[in-house]
Amino acid sequence: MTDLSQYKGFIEQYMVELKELTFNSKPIINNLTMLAEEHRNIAPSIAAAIEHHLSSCPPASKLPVLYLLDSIAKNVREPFVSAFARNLPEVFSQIWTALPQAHPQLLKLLNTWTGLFPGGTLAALRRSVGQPEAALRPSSAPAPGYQARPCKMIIQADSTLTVAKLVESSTALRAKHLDQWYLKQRRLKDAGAANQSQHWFVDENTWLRGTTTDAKAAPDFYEEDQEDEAEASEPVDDSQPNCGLSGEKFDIFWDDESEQWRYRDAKRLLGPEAVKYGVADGTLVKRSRQ
Amino acid sequence: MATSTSRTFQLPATEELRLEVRQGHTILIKLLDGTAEIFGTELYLGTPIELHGQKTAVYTWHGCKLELLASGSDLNEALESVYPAGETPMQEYVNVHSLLEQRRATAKEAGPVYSARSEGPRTLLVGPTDVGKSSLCKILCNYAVRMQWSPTMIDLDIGQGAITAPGSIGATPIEAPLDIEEGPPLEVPLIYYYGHVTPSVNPDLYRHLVECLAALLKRRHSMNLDAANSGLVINTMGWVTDLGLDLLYHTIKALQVDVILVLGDDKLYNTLHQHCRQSRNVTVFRLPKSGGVVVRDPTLRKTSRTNRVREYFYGPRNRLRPHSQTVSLRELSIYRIGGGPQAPSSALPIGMKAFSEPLRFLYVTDVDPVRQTVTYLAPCLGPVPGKYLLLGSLKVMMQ
Repeated sequence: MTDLSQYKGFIEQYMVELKELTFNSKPIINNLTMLAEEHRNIAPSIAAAIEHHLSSCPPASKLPVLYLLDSIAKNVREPFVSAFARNLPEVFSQIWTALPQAHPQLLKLLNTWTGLFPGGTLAALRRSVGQPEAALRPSSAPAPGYQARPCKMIIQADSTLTVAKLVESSTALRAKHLDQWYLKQRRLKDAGAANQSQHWFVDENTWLRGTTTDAKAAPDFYEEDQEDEAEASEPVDDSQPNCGLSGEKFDIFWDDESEQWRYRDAKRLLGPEAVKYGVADGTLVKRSRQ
Repeated sequence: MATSTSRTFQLPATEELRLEVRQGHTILIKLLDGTAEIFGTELYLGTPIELHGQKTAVYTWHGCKLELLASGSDLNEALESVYPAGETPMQEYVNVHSLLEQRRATAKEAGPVYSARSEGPRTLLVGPTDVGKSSLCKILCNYAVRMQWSPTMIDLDIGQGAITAPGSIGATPIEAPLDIEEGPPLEVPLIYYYGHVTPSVNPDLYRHLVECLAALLKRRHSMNLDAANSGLVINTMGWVTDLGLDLLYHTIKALQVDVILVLGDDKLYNTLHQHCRQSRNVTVFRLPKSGGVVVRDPTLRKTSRTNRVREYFYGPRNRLRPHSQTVSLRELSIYRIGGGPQAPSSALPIGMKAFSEPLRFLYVTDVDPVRQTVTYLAPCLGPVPGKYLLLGSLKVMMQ
């Protein structure tokens, strides 16, 4: 009893996944084939689910689902071959009528089934597509979707196209990638062991901005500090050694850029600003650091 | 055994050469003919690559000729093992890549203005430890880069820390093939510190960090269409039961994962499959683990963890120079994340916001209670940009 309801649940789930097979997706086909293999004890139910879906799904999904059927039959074989064989001529002829533009693919597929399905089924299939036996060349062309590989958990999907694309694209990009790699190698070498160190990690905003791989993206804390220092200072004025407001003594430092001694964190109040603080025009005061 | 300084291997198409270089040894590998790749990173003809004390595999789609060279005196001494293997899951992996490519193309078709449909595939790799998750993660990132995408690699494996030091989670944009010698690019990683090597110490913090990361990725994707189209490749930790599973569910939701790849665990596949049945747009796939995966015992995992910490400061090839500094304790505020196993969870959300900012790692080498000073190893010269330190529970001994 429990087994039965469990199977029911599985078939329902399988039907849900079948609906996702709307294009020729190798991973989905692989996955559904594996699931079928694991539940070979209920092969007739799975076959019925696939056949039902084939007759009810939109035309665009029919071919991918037929490739799934092909994949299961070729990779798992029995008991699926027998389960499919019964209704295959009828299912196939429906698709044949519904998809006139797919006739070449369907014929190719049909050619790969020689020896897989029983002779009676094959003959019926050929009749359904209106082709006498003689017209069908014993083709050695591989199936459009999948090549059979006996008894392996996962089917060897036809990945040649993906690999070809990958190789083509990598060849086009190779010069660029090689340049990047050489530049990096040289940078590492030029910098020498002594000067190389890990950068601090960046904060969220810098990370968001710096999506190019630029080592300088990490902020340089030293520079920031020095800029502040030069900005917030005034040249030394011997007549005013202390802050005009607080009376605090100014810190003196040597500034390389202006080549002069300067008061650190100092500001000269001029005009309205001097009036605002109630001091004489030109008084030096100490600024508080932010 | 006789000493030798070089060996050549002729690999037929779709086979791989599995190599184990002994710890502390280095060998060079050179492609003489054909094409070959290491976890998706192409080898360049005639350009030798260094391999240091690591286990790796060189795969070829179309056949190749490889040369192994000793950097020291003897090749046999440096190599623990080397053998060609024909049974690899690369066919399945490239099929996954094909599916992700389709999704990326669809995302790009959504147009030049960012919308929800511009989001490329958000792939989650799950499975127990030692099934080849990190390798697959590298392969998928590399293949995407080789198709001119720039995916974001996310590392949630706090135990090993593929992007940076253990105890943290991180994200890094991948814009060039991963460097075989140097590892993931460290120029622009975003790191959140968790402070422990297992999430059970403080699962709330772990969840919080994943959410922070998700929010940030969302911001980035709205600013960077290419990154949005390219999608994410997320690596996870090997803990897949009880709390580990809960955290996986949380990650799936927080990072809006839509492709889940389960490696080598049928039970986990079924569990996740059931879990994701309700949500229409999550697809779960099962993949075989590679026969080349070496099971790491706890000692080896610990060694590899220590090595990761070491690499953070010194670089994979000992090229980096960290700096040791001593500061007074009064200048620093040290906090402990989560306060240990007994920390009341109610205490967490309050201070948490302030600490979620990305940060830096220091390796504390000495604490002098009398002089009230801390001596630490900082990754670079200059003062520490901040006075707040977070204490983690990670302890390693670097020589």
